Amino acid sequence: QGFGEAFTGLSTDSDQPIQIEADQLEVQDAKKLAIYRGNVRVLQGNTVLKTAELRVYYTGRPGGGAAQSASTSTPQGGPAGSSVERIEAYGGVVVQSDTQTATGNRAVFEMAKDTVTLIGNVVLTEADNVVRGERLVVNLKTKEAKVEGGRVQTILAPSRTEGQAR
Amino acid sequence: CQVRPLYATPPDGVGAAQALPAIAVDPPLNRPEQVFRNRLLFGLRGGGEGAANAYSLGYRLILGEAALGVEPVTGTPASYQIIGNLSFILKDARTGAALVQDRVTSMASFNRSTQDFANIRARRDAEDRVSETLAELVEVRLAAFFAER
Amino acid sequence: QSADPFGSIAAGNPEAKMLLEADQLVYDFDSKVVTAIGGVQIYYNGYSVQSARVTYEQQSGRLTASGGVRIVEPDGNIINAEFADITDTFRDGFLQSLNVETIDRARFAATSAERRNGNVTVFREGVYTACEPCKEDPQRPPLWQIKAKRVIHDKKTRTVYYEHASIEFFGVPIAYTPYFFHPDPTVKRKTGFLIPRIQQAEALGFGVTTPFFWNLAPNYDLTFSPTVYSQQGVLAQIEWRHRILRGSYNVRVSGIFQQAPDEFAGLSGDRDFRGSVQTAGMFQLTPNWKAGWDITTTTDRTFGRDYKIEGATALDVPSTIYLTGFSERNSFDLRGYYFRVQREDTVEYDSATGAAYTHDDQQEQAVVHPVLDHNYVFDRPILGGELRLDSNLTSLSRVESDRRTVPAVDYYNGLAGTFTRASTDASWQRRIMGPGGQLFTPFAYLKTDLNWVAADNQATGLAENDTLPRAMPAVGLEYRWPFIATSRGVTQTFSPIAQIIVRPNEQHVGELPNEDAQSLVFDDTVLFSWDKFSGYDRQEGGTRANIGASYFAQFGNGWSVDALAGQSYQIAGRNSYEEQDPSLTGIGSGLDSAVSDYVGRVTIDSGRGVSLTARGRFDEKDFTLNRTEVTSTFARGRNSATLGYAYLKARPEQGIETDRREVAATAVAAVTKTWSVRGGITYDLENEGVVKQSIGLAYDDECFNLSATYAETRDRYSDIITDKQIFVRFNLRTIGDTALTSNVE
Repeated sequence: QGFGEAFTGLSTDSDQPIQIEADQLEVQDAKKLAIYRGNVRVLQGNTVLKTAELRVYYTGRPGGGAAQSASTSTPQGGPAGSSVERIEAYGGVVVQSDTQTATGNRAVFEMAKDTVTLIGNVVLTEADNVVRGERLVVNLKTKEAKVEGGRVQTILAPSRTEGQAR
Repeated sequence: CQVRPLYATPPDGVGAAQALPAIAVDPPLNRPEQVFRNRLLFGLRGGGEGAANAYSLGYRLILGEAALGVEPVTGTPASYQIIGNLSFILKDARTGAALVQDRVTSMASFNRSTQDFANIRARRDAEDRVSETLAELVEVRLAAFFAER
Repeated sequence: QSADPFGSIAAGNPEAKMLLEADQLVYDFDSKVVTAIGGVQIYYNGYSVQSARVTYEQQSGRLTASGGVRIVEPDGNIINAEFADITDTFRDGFLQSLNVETIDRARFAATSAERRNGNVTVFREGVYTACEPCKEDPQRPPLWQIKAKRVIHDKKTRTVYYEHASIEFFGVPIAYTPYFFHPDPTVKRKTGFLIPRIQQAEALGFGVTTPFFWNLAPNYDLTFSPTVYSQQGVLAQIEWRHRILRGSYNVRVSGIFQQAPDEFAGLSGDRDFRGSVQTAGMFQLTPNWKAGWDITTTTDRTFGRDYKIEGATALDVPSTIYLTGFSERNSFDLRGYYFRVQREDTVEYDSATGAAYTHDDQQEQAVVHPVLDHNYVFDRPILGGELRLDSNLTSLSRVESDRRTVPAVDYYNGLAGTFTRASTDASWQRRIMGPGGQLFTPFAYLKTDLNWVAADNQATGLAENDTLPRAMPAVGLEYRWPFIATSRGVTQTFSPIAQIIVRPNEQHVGELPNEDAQSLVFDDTVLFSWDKFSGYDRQEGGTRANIGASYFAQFGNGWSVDALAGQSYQIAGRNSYEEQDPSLTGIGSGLDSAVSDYVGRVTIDSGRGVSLTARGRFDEKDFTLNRTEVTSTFARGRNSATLGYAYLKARPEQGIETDRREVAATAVAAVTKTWSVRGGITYDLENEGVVKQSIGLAYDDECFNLSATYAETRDRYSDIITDKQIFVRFNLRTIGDTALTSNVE
């Protein structure tokens, strides 16, 4: 396992349903925008994303009205029957899967490019490994995560294979 | 120029006679340094008690030997010369500031005998004489320093 | 510190984490490969790695760095390489076109290096040198370097092996060896060959010594130093050194079966087997007490001097066993002596009959069993003054009398028989500050001793078998009135000095041997001594006055002048220096008349490395010079020189018929930053001949030093014929030197 797992969880083409809970949901259909506010939690499989405000941009048929109950359960996180173009999370983001957590100031999911970008003192920990940087870009198709911006620091635990073998 | 007794007590009351007994002399590393220190301590305190240590004196004594007047045929020198070099530093015990830093030298010779034991004892006596003369040289320099201040 | 590029196995703590820092980090989920790009810094277990690009496979633990990599190891070695493929625990790996700078400034370079199982590192096309690259032209080959097809560094055995190695000086290969090894510089004590020594001497021929050091254990070792001499064959030397808890001791055995003994025809060296045994030890019993010994025996008189055996090249080699105590103010020394004479027997011609008289110099030397010195100064003032107690016990015996014939009378520097003396010298003195800064120093002393004389034969005047007590009470006063004058940066002090000592006459002069007070040089250092004799065997008697003055000037520019002069007078009682003891000590000393010679000293010092000291004794009647020693020294930076002149007037009464006038000069001149020349010459002005001379050349830089010395004592002034020697020493730093100077401590 590596610290990329945390993000595969959020991949759009995974078959697991995405469930979003929040205190409040506001849908601005004209702008094709749904805003979840208030300890927003996005669940998919064993991966959880927590943030203060989640904005989902979608295309296609308008779903429910404003202030719909916060907990909706739709495959792509957007109102039923629509397809999600972009998701933005603001006010501090925490992504957790069973062994990894990633935190940052805000996050952007771009479904078309299949990338997730975490921006602003990003910290990613996975078992013993820790990575810190300004920006984290995860390409879910190529399974490649890139951390950059300023100085990126990571702490790794060297493999023990060598050690034990002696 | 102004001529006055070296050990006279100046008007402000602190001259060589008062300052010298307040010098603590570092412990010696070997016998010649011990002879130097014992002789210097008498020079500074006149055999009396030392005063509260206001100053400290560090020093290192190095002895050398040279052969003089080598005799033909036997190739033995007629006489040997013991050369003593001593560098010393006087510091203010409280601030550690260096007040006097100097180097003095002294020489004493002894005649070579055909008896080796006599030469060993003569060398030891010459070393003592060099060490004691160095103590007198240091005493004069310290006294002059305090008398001038 | 180690020359191993990978340093010690990452012994640090196994749980250590690796910190990686870069401009950009790319993580590939599938292959689990992390790629760090731009200014990559890795810190792990004391290692630090800088590189342009590093990829790290966490699964297999392989770390590859390319685009130039710089590794700094826990112990300070710095490795620069083009490419590195190493394990993440830094234990193994492969480096491409690298150079290593070790902590002791030695340099490895190689096209590639590979480390296997954390221990052995193999360099291909390796080059090793301890020389710094030349600043202006780094490509210029260093002074020396060792090139080899393969250089193997084995961490366990701490040895560097070379295969197909050639040693190059200034880029020119001068020696090739298929196989060569030396201990890596972390090793202070390593079994192996030490740097050979080359010397040449008359009668011995050309000699090469190849010492081999066998490091048996951290605290004991053996050194074999065979020397092959072209004329005399192999001189074998074995030295055992052993360090134990409280001290250490060593034993050195040397021996040779001479191939050409007749080179020493007529001398004591003319024999087949010659050798010596030496042993020395010192043990610190308590912080203040130590005991030890230093013993040398040789098969014949001049073996030590002929073969320049370390520690046995003196004219007479003393062997001693001692117990020494030392505290801040007091000292104790109990010691035995045996003297191994390394001179041919001296022949003397009887003054009256002219018949030749051959001394047996060895039997004429005393065996001292023991000599004890105890010097004690009471720490607390007694009656406001300093009380001291100086005691001495001397007991010695001698097989043959050391009789010297002189035109007027025979005299004895040593008598056959056994002589013992126990002495104490209690002295008290106190300095009182009189009015106007006058210094009065009343003093008193009492010397008492007991002498047991057991002379083998009746020498004129000497007590035969007797126990003679002596006592010398004395009271005296020293007066000084020091003045100081300061004007415009010049400080001068001047003091008249007067001393009066009242005593009875000396007892039993001539009836007792004089073993420890034979030398009497009347000079400025002894002018104001209460007793001018140099030992306990003689006690200055009668009432004597010493008068003189001391002067000191300190100039602002650092120059200083220091002088003392004076004279001594026998006022009442018998002048001890006019009386004859068996070794005629006082005769011709300048004190042997009621009014003594004048003595004086002046020292001029620049305060910046130039100084001159002149001392003299002038006849009291016509002021002619009886003795003078002038010594001047010069020092600036690495250059230094000394020039000495000595004139000792003849003392026929003591067997020295002719004057002695001699000039001695030594100099060390730094020719360049690395080359220096040193030389010395002693010239006998009286007989217009060179006594001895030496000339030496030395080269020192950060990685290599060479010294070549030629030393010669002219035959006229030496009783041995091997006094022309050439010594050559050279060291390649980190290869030669540590092994040579490694010692037990």
